[in-house]
Amino acid sequence: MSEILVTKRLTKKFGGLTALSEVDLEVSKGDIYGIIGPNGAGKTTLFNVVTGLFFGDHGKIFFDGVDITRIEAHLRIRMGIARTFQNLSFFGKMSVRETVMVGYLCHTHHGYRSIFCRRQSAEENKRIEDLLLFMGIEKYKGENVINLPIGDQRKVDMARALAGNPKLILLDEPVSGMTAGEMGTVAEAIRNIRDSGITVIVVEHNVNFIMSLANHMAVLNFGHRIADGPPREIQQNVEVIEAYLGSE
Amino acid sequence: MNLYIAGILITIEINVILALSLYSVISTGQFSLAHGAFMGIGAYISSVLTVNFHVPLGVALLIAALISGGFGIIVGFPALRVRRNLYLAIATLGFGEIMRVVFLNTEYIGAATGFRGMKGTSLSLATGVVAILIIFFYVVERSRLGLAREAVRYNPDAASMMGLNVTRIKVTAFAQGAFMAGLAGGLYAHYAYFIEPSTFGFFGSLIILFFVIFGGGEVLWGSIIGAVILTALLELLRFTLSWRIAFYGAIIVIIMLVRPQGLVDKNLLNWISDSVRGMVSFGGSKRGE
Repeated sequence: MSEILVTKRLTKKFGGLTALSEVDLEVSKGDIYGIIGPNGAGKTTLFNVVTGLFFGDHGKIFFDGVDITRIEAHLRIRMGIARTFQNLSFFGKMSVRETVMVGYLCHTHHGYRSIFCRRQSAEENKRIEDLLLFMGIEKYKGENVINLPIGDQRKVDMARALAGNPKLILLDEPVSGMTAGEMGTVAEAIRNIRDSGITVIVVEHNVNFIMSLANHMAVLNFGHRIADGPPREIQQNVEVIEAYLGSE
Repeated sequence: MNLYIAGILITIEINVILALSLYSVISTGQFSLAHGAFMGIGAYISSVLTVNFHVPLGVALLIAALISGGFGIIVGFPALRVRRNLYLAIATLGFGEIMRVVFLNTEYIGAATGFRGMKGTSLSLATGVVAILIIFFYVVERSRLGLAREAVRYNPDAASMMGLNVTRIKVTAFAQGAFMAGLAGGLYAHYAYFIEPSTFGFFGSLIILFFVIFGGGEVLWGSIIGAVILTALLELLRFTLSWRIAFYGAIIVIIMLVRPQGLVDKNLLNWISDSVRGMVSFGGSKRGE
């Protein structure tokens, strides 16, 4: 099977509002899969339902061939799905190193049996430092995450997601709040992630950024998937131009 | 040692255990107004075991704490469904009131007239228990379990998105808190010789909450210092008779206004440790000259 993530008629309603309506997606292994859409199109809801933060109302989700539709969030993550957050979500006054370690915790004992284990072993520390180096933020390792500039916080968020050895990573607006220079380094990091064998799904508002990065794209509008295909095709799709890029 | 001083020290130590029991719950971002009830469960069960069944005190305390911890699991699961602390307060308060009514109406444990005849809590026993618990928390906070709890405390959604089983982490912390409150209840009963239902009602829970709010729930030492100062203060204010609780309330209001995070927080601890480190290195360099 070459698809790592398949959604079939995925639907999620909040009261009277349909956030996702019968969304079908097929993400192949090794893709950088871009998802665009206007505000409120359902992009983050899609991530939330795929990662299990809340369950969909109808439809199915398959990850690496396994039906995960009713599987609890933490178990999905342990199966190999990781994500970052549009609204950065860190843990109080934790340092960068500890924040990234939390991403790896689920693969180690972290119950009462672990109380005589230090927060990070020497080997894990090395692994975390390699990840920080990979994201270009190694100089911040002992700093409090919330004191970092937004662009670097987003990189910590990505490092934390990568710490769990995922097969699939969902990036929610990874370059939001970044300068053009920072966007270039993040684009390179995303390509490196893909080259290391991890499939990447990116939700992004910056159309130029995502068009230059993704090899496949889907467009959401009012919870409906209105188009999918290679970026060049999407760019010329009339419905997409009207809904998102502007009709002029 | 002077019996009066020993009594105050035992009371302080029991209150430190109670504050730690609530800190255990707060360390995963939860809240409880049922800790008075958990204390009561521990107090009554251990008392029945030692007085009616002649079980050794140590064994009775352990059984009572385990049963209280079991109740913690029962309350902890429904509490998880309540995401806002205000509702969590009401839900746990409901359990506390149920237990108070059970204590009040169960003839076997003396109902409204209370239960008597317990003895055995010594200063060394209370000190030993406090020492073990402080070491336990100190170790836990530096471990992976501590890291997982910290993540769940500050952002449960993000923690679950990191693959952490938030339900399990929260419920075990709640049960751990109930276990410790039960233990404190058992020690209290065998120190006070006599227990009655009113001790373990809403005000019992509220006083435990005062300790943590006053000292600061962000760090372990906050809860401990809160319990020590407020208990000592209660003794010093003894001359004010029934106005004592009003003074207590006023102190809490003042601390909330002046220092809402409580007396001790992470920043203060970091400042103290940096200062101590600075003094040590200064002393070291002087010696080296």
